[in-house]
Amino acid sequence: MNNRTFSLFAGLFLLAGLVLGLAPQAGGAAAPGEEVDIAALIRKAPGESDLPEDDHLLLYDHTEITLLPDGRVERRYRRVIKILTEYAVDAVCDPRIGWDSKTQELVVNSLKTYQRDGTVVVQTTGMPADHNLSQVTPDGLDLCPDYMHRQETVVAFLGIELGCVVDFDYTVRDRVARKRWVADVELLQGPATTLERKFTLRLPAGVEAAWSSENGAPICTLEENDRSRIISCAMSQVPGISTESDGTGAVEFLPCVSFCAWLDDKGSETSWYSALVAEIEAAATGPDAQGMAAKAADLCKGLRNDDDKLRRLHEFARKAVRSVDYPALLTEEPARTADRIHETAYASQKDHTVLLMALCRAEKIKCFPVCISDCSFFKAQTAEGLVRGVLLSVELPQGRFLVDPGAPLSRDIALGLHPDRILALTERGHRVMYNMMPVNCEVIGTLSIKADRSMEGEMTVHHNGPGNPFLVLRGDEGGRDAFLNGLAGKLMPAGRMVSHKILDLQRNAVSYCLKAAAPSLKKSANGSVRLTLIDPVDLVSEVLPPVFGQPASRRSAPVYIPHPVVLTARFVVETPEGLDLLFQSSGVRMINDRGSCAISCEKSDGKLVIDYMLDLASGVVHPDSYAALRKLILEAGHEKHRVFVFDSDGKGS
Amino acid sequence: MRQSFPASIRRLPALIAAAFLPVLFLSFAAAEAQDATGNECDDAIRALITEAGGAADYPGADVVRVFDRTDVDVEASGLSHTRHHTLTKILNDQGCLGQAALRFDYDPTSNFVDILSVRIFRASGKVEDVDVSSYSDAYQPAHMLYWGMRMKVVALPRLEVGDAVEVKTYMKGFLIAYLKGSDADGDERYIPPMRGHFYDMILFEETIPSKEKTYKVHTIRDRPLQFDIFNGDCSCSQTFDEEKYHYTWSKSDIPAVHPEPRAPDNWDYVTKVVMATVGCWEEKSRWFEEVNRNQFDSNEAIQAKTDEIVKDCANDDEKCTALLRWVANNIRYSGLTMGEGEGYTLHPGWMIFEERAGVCKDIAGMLVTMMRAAGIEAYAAMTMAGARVEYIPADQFNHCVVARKKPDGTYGMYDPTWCPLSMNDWSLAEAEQHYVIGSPEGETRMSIAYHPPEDCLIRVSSNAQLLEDGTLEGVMALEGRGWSDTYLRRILTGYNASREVARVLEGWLLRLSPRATLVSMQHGDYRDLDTPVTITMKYTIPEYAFVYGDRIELKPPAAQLLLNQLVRAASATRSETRTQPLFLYLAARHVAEETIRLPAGYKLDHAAKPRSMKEKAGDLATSVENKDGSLLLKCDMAVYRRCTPPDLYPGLYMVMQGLRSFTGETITLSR
Repeated sequence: MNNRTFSLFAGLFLLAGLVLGLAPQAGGAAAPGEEVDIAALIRKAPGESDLPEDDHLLLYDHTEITLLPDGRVERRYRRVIKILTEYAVDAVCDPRIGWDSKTQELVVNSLKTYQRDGTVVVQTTGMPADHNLSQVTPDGLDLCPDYMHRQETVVAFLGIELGCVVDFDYTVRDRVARKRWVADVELLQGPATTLERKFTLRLPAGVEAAWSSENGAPICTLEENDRSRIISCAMSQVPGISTESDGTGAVEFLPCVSFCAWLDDKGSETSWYSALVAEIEAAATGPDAQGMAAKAADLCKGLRNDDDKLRRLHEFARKAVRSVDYPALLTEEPARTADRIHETAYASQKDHTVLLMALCRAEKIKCFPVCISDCSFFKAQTAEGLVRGVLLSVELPQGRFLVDPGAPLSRDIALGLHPDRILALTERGHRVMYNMMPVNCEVIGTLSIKADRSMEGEMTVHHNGPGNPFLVLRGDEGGRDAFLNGLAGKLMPAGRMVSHKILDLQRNAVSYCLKAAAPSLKKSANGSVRLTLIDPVDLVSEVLPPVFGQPASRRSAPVYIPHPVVLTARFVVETPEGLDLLFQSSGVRMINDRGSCAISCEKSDGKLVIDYMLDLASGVVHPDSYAALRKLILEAGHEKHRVFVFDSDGKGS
Repeated sequence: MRQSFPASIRRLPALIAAAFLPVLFLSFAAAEAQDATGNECDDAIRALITEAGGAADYPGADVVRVFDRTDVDVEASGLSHTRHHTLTKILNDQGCLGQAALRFDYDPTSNFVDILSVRIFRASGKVEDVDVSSYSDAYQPAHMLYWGMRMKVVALPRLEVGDAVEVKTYMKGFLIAYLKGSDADGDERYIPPMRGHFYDMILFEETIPSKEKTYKVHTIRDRPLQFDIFNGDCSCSQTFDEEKYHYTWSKSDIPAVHPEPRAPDNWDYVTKVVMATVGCWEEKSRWFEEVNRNQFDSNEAIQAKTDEIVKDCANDDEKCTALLRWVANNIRYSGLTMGEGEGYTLHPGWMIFEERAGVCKDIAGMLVTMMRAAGIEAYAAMTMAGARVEYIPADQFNHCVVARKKPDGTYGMYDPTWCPLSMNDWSLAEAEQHYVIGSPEGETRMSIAYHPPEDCLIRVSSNAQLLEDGTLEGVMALEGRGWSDTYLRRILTGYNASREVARVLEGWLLRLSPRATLVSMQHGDYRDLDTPVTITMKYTIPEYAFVYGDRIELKPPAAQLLLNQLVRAASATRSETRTQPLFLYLAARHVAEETIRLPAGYKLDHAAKPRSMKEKAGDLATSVENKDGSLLLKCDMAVYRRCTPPDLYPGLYMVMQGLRSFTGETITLSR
């Protein structure tokens, strides 16, 4: 998926609404150099009224990737697009294609617009030049001279009108060999309904390769002759999908082909990974990292344990450089040395990792880089194209931790990731396992409403596993007081923290207690006063998907629950004489295939006792069971279970 | 750090539809007295760096500009030479990162830029020369406008707090104008299209504090400058010798200015000097008409399309509207590179007709071409979207529109760039906007009339049934007038067909309650520009109201939706006061009317008292009534001005607080 910032597919994840009853169908393999009968495609194409849920339609979509004998790679894309709506005119007709001007060339092989009346608007082709082929530097790289060879070409389609068809064919070709492998994933389903979708991988004869079809993609065919091996597959009538912002990676559930091929005898499916680790090692520990080694010694002067050293070094590595974000910098750019990164004062995420690794290694803190994906590395064939982050695994006496060198140490990242998203291999090729802990959060609160309606109370939280506020409570980013004050404000209306105590502070387990007080509960216009308690679900929200604002229906992408979550909470509220209860929750008990939730509220010895329990199973939640998950979380956090209405004048029931 | 070039208003338009680029003149003069050329001057610079102070003197600032000096020399041809000299002191770690690379923008077909020197005055006292010959040269990042603009980027050695960066540059020509082709002789390619003339605009306040900012310009004796100072004050002087006039504007200890939410373009509130050698707007108008005179020729295909579009029109008004709609909805906005004259020339109608793409001036040019093909007298006009055009006849434009000359000699204005999916010929988001029409006779600066808020009414009508368990079921209809109608059409076309529109609208309902469900959605034909579009949502919200004992509590759903989604002023009126105007583009009225049928036996127990507020910047009226077993709720709020000045803002703030209070107040029912 590298080199391809084609806006049709930018940032998309998700699922299918079947259009015209289309169901994906496997088709025949693509023949090399296949001619496309545009006239026939246009003739057969449905119109806007046939596809009321689509803004454009792909009549033909073919990706061809060729690994040449000398290691160069060519990627050719041919798309025949029918424009159906005004949205498509804006969103589809100026695609941006990323490429490396130092090592690659981009060639537009053909660009034609077929208007409704039969007029054909033939447009500029060839190398990026002017008029409708415009070259730009990607946003955010303009102040990064080391990366400014990364360029984008904006191709403006001309002669566009509603109902027109654009035939667009371009190639991104290596001018020099950069790698000796290809390892990627090709998605076969996207946002547009696609009538013919083809994928072809061409390799020199005898070259080793591995590939697999996932999520319902057709099995690939293999053709071999004296000169080449051709792996291909095709689908037809592929329905378009909607976008989803909080879903898992698209390769997790959409039809795709993952593949690796390598030229060297000693190649393996993870050649790319070994090379990436080796280059990061060299950049972090070679001669051009000595400046940072000296810096590390300076920074850690007087510090005794590795934990404190890591904090100091991480803060330096994060703040000494400006972060730049561009996907190709992760796997398409060679690692820069630690000293160079510091000197230039800007860093990609990989650069951040090199910098922190250099600092840690200089202080003898064991660490190694790991790759992170937004979907499972091991569901599909291991693929370089899945890398979304390069982080650092750091070994401390308390255990092994994943650290994002470019982000604040607010939560331990490893605790928040599904293990299959983390790729870290030993020298022997074995996976390094990260044991995921369940989330277990226990909350005990006691509150007292005084005769003057003022309040005081305390809350104790024992939070084991992911999402715990270890680093917040340790005060790394100075947010401890704000965090605890925020909790006090939620514990009771207008509550303020009186004092707090950290009972236990370990990376995987924290316990803390806070005391809070609040002025008199406000009397409403109808004479009642209302107490709203803290939402205990808030305390584990870091590990839950954001279901608020997301409809239960129209869900297209699965979401991840990486860890099992168990939340229990008990609040005891003491009320004074004369404050009659008008409303309390009648409780709820709910069980479904995503877990369970139980809330009860009882009066006992003049006290209100409220018990909460939320128990969620881990795993991938597919759209068909998303509603069940959402219902559990919404119910557990429902305000009605946390609200108590009293008759202030003592006239209530 | 992006270097402004020079310290004045030579920049690309920022508005999405803005692409009619002013012709910008730059200039040059011999090195000025303050230039550092030896050790002695370096000492003077060090003294300035020390005097500038440190981080404690500039709370919140990463750097301070010790000085920013521009010297412009204008030749008789109008060719300008600009020498720019800045010194910037690093105040904190962020400042080090921000200054690590310096960017100098240029347009190879319009100007010449030379980075003369970059030096670092280290806090230790050492001075380091940066090798400016090793700059990187690449295309600029760009969106919407792809005109081949380039940049030179100089990487600096690692900076430390207390260091200062001195930069000297030289530039000749325009920032952008695409003058002659690259084969033009010598400096000819940099001479401004309005030969012999010069204009500029200086802005003093920036987003970083500055100790001193000085701008000097030298013009020949028969080209005096007229100028004025706006939005503040600065020192100025005018002297002359036998050859030239010498003008200087200067200001010291200039604080940083950061834009407040929905502020207008900073042209409208920071201290600025506007200057021009052109005598009057009429002269500019005639020139503009002349350079574009031959761009509007029709051809067979255009004539045929024009005839087809106007064939059923009864008069010229109808023809103009029909042609405007065709152009607005068929020529898409895309800033292709089209070659010579990009900055001020409208590209020929035949080209735009074939390619169906261009920027505002091309889209305007297409409409002029088609109007003329229909026998209607029409001209291109320059305007400024998002800021004032001051009376000094300097180019202060970023947008191009169309003027139709009527038989009585008056003009009708049309904006095809801002009118896709619009029932209006002129976008009401451009009311009170200044413009200058390019005509053979020459026109002065004019402005679009004020429009009252009712012209941009947006209304949410809700008819709902409240069930005894707190469930709310109903239908909400959204409809608008003027720009508000266009806004609703853009919702329908701004997302991926109906799949995404439904999700977006359901998202609106989910802000009322996470349990809301959009049952169905209907809307009118957004391509029918003769009928206002209505979007209707059928919804259900279980447990919308809080039910306890014999009481039910709820908040007004339609008013909440109005405030959350449809009141432009909502997000920008959180603070009680402003120092900058509030620029909303529109005067608008917002109405929510809802009827909620109550469960049997329930009646209104408590609700907020009716409000009626009338301020100079807006008004509000709210009411809640219990009638025939239903709750009737209404709120009606208006913003009177497209741009509310800071002194009237507190009144608007109170109106908005009143609206927030109405939407947030609990209504109690009892039986």
